[in-house]
Amino acid sequence: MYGRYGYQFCVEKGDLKVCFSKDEDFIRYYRGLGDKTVERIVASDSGTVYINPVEPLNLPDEVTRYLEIRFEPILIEPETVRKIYLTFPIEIGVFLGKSDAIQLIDVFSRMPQKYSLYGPTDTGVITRYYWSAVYLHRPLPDPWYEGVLELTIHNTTKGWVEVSRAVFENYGMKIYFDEELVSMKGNMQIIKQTIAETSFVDKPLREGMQKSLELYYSRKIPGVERAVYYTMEEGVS
Amino acid sequence: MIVTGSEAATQSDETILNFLTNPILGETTPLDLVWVIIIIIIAMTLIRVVRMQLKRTFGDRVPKSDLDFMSTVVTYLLYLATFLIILPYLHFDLSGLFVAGGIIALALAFATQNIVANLVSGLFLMFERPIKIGDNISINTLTGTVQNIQIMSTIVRTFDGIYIRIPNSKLFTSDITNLVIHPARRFEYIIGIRYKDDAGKAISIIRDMIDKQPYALKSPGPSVYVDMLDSSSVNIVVKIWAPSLYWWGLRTELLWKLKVELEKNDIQIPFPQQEVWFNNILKADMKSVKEPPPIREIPYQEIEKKENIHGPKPGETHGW
Repeated sequence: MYGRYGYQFCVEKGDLKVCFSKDEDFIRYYRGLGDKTVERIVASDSGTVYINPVEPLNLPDEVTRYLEIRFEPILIEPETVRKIYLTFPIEIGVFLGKSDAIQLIDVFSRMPQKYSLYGPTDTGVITRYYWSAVYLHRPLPDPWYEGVLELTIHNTTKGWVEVSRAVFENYGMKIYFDEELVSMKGNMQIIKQTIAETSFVDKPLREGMQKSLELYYSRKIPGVERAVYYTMEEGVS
Repeated sequence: MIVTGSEAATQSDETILNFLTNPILGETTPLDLVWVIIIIIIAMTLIRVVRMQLKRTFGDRVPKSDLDFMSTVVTYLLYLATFLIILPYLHFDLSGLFVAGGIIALALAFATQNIVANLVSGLFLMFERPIKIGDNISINTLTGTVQNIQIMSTIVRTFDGIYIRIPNSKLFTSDITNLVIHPARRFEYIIGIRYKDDAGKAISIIRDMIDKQPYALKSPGPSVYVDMLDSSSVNIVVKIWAPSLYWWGLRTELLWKLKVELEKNDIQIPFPQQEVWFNNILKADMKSVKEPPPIREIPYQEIEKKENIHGPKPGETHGW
């Protein structure tokens, strides 16, 4: 179902129905999921509809810029690199495109939303919370519910570090998708026992995946390919 | 004496020049005043253009409160620059001002102490930033949203939509409670249940309900516990953390949901009850009364949705 469409199509998957229909005057958009429906009228002659996973930070409202994935604590040995796989919640965006102008018209999700606070109540940040199991091999969750995050953890300290959370900033989230998988690649560099830097890698998890349209993108300085980092200063466990 | 056309024109030019260069107010000439007006017009235009450019350039990247602050600071700096540029045209002797500065400042201080107090407080408010535009604040009995922080006063809109102007000196010396400066805040309910109800079950139901609410924060988690064995009920205290900007919506929605869910599970919220014993003998025939009447409890009932309420159609009048 992810992909590009014209102005007349209808796709159904379980209790989800997304339709674009054309009548004499307008293009009409309809989306039904569970007991909630959204309808919109579009005044356009031609264009492209894009349906793809977006950064999971939009529902029920744009509350925060941060995604926090909690998982079972893992002890990482000193000065080593370990790769783990986590899952993240999927939010699906419906976009209209005409030339270079892209407009988001709807975001929906089959996953419940929950928020949390990373850090103390006065200086911390609100985060979109998600609990994930930890996998050493890539899992294959339903791409309509969950995506896979390949997280490379680099413990640069000389001591053992227990990690049970990763907090990422929305800018720089690079999501790739195909029919069976939605994925992101991230890094976590542990600088001290309680401080780490997280970032995303702009690469798919496997060949042939398409890149999602981003809702939050950072302006890059030409010639500088530095990723957007978030510094976790309030602990990693 | 014959005056040629060119001489007449020269004389006329000289007259205008004389008029423009002759002092009319101290040493200030009309020409100086013209320059002052021109400078003021250019400055006002420049200020407008700069403010517009700031909005265009940073409007989508900087929070509105920061942008307004930046815009205000730049505007006042431009006003100051304009004032300094104008001063020489008015032949205002700054050195004289410095000499007499002490006396003038003293006189001004007495005359304008409220204005100066507001001005200085405004500057402190802008730089210390205990409040920002858009913050929900509480000052004494006033609660509302900050609309603008000006150099002399702060504009607050109450939640009833009332415009209130607070002088900055008053604001600065008041106890300011900023309701949203921290990312999260806690609120609480006290829910009373009957003595015969299972408090453990009630706590479990309440926790499940809180867990389903997106804005009830996972961490710091909620506290739900029996707080008091009251005269008519067992009181359960529920404390929930929520994002500061969303706590009120959650607070107003969740309480009724908790009540409905508890009643669905046969946990009732009791009415206050009082047993009254009469010390004297009542002149009533008590032979037929074996036991006190049972306390009537109202079971949980689904509220039927009222559908199809026929209101008057457009153009019709009420049948009152």
